Amino acid sequence: MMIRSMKKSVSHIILLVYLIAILYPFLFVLFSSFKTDNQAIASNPFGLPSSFHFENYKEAWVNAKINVYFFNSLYIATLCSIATIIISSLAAFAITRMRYLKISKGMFQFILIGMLIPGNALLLPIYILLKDTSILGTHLALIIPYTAGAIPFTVIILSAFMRSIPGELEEASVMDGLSAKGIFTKIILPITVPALVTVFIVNFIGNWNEFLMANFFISTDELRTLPVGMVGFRDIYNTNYAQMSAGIVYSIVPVMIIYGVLQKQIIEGLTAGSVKG
Amino acid sequence: MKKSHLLIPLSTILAATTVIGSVGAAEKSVTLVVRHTQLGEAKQQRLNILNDVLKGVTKEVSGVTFKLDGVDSDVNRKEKLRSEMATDSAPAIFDLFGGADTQLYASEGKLLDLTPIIKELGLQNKFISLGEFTVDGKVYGLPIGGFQEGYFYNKQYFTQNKLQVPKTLDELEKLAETIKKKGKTPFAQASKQAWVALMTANTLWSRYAGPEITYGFATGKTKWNSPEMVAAFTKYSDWVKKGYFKKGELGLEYAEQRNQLIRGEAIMMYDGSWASSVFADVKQAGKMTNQVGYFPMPKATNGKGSQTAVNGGFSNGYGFSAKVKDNAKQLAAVKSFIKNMYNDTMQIRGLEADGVLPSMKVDSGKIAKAKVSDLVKEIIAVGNKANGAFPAFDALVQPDVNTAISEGIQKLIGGKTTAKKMLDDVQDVQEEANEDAE
Amino acid sequence: MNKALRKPMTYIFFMLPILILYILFFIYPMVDAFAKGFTKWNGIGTAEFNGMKNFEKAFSDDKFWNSVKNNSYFILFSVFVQVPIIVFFSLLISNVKKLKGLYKTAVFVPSVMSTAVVGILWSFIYEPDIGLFNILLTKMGFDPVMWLSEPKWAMISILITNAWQWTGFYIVMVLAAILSIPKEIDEAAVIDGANGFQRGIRITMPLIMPIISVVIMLSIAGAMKAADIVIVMTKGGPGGATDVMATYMIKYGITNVKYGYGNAIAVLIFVFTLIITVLYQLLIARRSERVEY
Repeated sequence: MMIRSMKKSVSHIILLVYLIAILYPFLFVLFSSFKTDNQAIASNPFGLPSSFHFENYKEAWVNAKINVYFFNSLYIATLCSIATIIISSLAAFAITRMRYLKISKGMFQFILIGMLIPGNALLLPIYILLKDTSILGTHLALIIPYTAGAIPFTVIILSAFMRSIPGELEEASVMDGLSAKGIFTKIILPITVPALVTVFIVNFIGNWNEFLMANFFISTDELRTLPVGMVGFRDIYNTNYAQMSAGIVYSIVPVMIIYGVLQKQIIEGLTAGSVKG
Repeated sequence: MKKSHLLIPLSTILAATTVIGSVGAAEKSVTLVVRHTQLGEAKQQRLNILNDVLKGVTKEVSGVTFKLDGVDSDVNRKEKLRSEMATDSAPAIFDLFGGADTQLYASEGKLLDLTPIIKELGLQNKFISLGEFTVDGKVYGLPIGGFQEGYFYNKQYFTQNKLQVPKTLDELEKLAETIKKKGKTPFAQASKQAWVALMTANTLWSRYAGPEITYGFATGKTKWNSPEMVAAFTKYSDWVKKGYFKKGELGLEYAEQRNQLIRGEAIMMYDGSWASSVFADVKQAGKMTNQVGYFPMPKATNGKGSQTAVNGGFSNGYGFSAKVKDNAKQLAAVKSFIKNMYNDTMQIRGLEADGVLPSMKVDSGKIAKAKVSDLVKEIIAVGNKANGAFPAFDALVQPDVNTAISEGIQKLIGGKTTAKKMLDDVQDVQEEANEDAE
Repeated sequence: MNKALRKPMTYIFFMLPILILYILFFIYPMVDAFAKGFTKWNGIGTAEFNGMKNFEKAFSDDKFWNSVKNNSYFILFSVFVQVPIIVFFSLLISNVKKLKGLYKTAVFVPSVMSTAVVGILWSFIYEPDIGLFNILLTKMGFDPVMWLSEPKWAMISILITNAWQWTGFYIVMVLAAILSIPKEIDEAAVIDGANGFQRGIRITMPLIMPIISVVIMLSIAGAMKAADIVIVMTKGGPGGATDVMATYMIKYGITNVKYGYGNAIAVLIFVFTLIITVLYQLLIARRSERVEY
């Protein structure tokens, strides 16, 4: 028993060291954000400053419109993730549950090709495609490509999940006189919720992160998303690390709060649909 | 597969949203996007000038509003504007470089021809030089100021250590050696963006091979890998090897180089005249305020061509989208913008507040009366004494060549290549680019 | 009885939205990239057909091969460095009883941040004078390392950052797979006298191979499209040392105003992804057939 408990503490020690290594960068940035300037960071890198310098937060707030960037990213990422899920679940349902097996098999293969196309590779042609519409320079220029970009992955995961749902369920519903739409909304969709949450989270993270299109397709400051806005902010205030740290803290805190509140749902959601799927 | 067929479904999806967006906005007012690069503390004065100009325009032309879009200069020049020109989505008013950039965009009809406008406003003879913005006799951009490059230096350190401003490159090297021995970095530099390191290199090769050599690259008359060029870059890489620049400077952002000078860590800095305003501002320069002097790149013994020519010119300013001319109100706004931006008052203001050298022929009496720092006076004096000026190389060569030499200089600094090998590679790219142009 | 699920209009209605978007934003751009990849085009004027020239140019350009190499580093680093770490920590977390929730939550934290912010944060950590790493090194008496400015360090610095961001994400996935293994299997092994380590290797590992295969596939996909982290941290520098194919495409396509060439690179990215995926499926995925339990 002694050995067993010692082994356990060794595990805990290793894990704690790992956690510190993973999380220390955040602390470093947090501490730095309260220091007066680079000199102060260099002279006392690890500790909290003797006096807190909140100026950085004031200046970072004025100099970078982080609230605007943050809201833009939040709504675009959410909207696109939901839009993708709605249209992809319709398709996954048609492919796996409707009785057009041959066509559906072809459709599935066709969409599978999309998984082989790395998103960034199509930057130039999509850019040129959008040029001929009036949406370039508006948020739609991101919303539509983001929604489209997640289709292959979402359809594949949802199809895999829906395929594993036993057929008896809907056979009974057909007997009860439900239409295809009814079966989709009342029977299949509720069962698919775990997979829907999974793809929502994965797609949300993808959209939240997207940098290249957001960098090239948007040309006004107030429409920028968080990644592009933060890089712009960095490009300008790149030598004032104290202020930059305050900017980083601003951009992290809301995410941390959302994560803190939803962490259980996020972590379980991420795995619920993917492990079995 | 024809594009128009594919666009039908796309536009159907968009129809509702775009219609809602455009209705109502069409008649009442126009909004012009202004892409500028006046970001950060060092350029605050320039941003104020821009804002005042825009205020003036809104008063003169009713129903015009502006949206400012600030982007880092290098990002704007090399990525944003390049891609926006290709997709016809450039802002109405934008920061533009003369030379190769202007030629490219003008030849594809993307820039507004300003010739009639400056005639109408009586500005056609008011600029010192519009050469870099002129293509086939037409003017496509207007420089906001002039620039000049040279060495900024820590005056106090020079006096304390009884150092003299160097007259020749050999003296400069001796100076660097002395500073190095005393434990300081001779040259401040931060070349994460390669153009920073290329400022020094550009003038150095102009001393060795003569300023004219750069004009010949794009025509094939001269070669990047000619012996004088190799000698100049070998000299440069010697300086790197001798530790005359800060170690790791390849990873540092441009603004960091002036901080090296301000902190007293480095003693000299090769930079453009636009950097002078920083040293007049206590908030930015601290103890180094008004303690900085300026001298030109000294002459090379046995160098070719003018040995006092400065790298300088009128290459950065504003250009306007060709689309502006389809909308009377936008065109009126652009005219008013030019009128409000390009006049003696603004030129003097830029000079006084920010040390930006005039790009227009401002009345010499007014210049003499202008309140400028000693540093700016020194810069103007160097310019007056110079026998000739030459534009930065990137105004004269194709974008691919700029990319090649940019990667090359970083590799040279990183010790990954030699001067000869690097210039051979650049010459290959140059030849290919010249062939393409034919 | 299948009538409800055999209505052509319903089928079309369900499929149409994704088909339109998919064709517009995947198939058409891909076809367009193929078409433009064989032209000389500055993106502004008209495109002229120039045969295989763009591809020949790419194949003879060291800088292009260097970017391919950097993409492969991304893949190799995730397969040979990240995956073992992921498996190790997943096993470790699955074996502890206390604090399991805390570990799981905490390792995931870096993955919720946007890549751009991660890049900015780590650029600060790598800063030569006041960055965390160099302060640590100098305190311990070592010479500072020029993380992002020395070609030999720059790429590894980016890989470490990328690993920091995503390791936790994958740990959570693998952990879920481990925890979903029925208890009886493990208990049977305990009775057979196998120790923790043996159980991990003999029983858990084979059962989680499918999810590890998913992790590797996701890593490869991530590696092939990696660009943002490079742009934010080094812009492909110094001297192109950290360019990946996507940043090479931007530099030589957009910055150099050669859209035809840029599209040819897009095609090559697609082809390479295809080759790697097929190789992976043939060599590895086939051998580790799904274990049913």
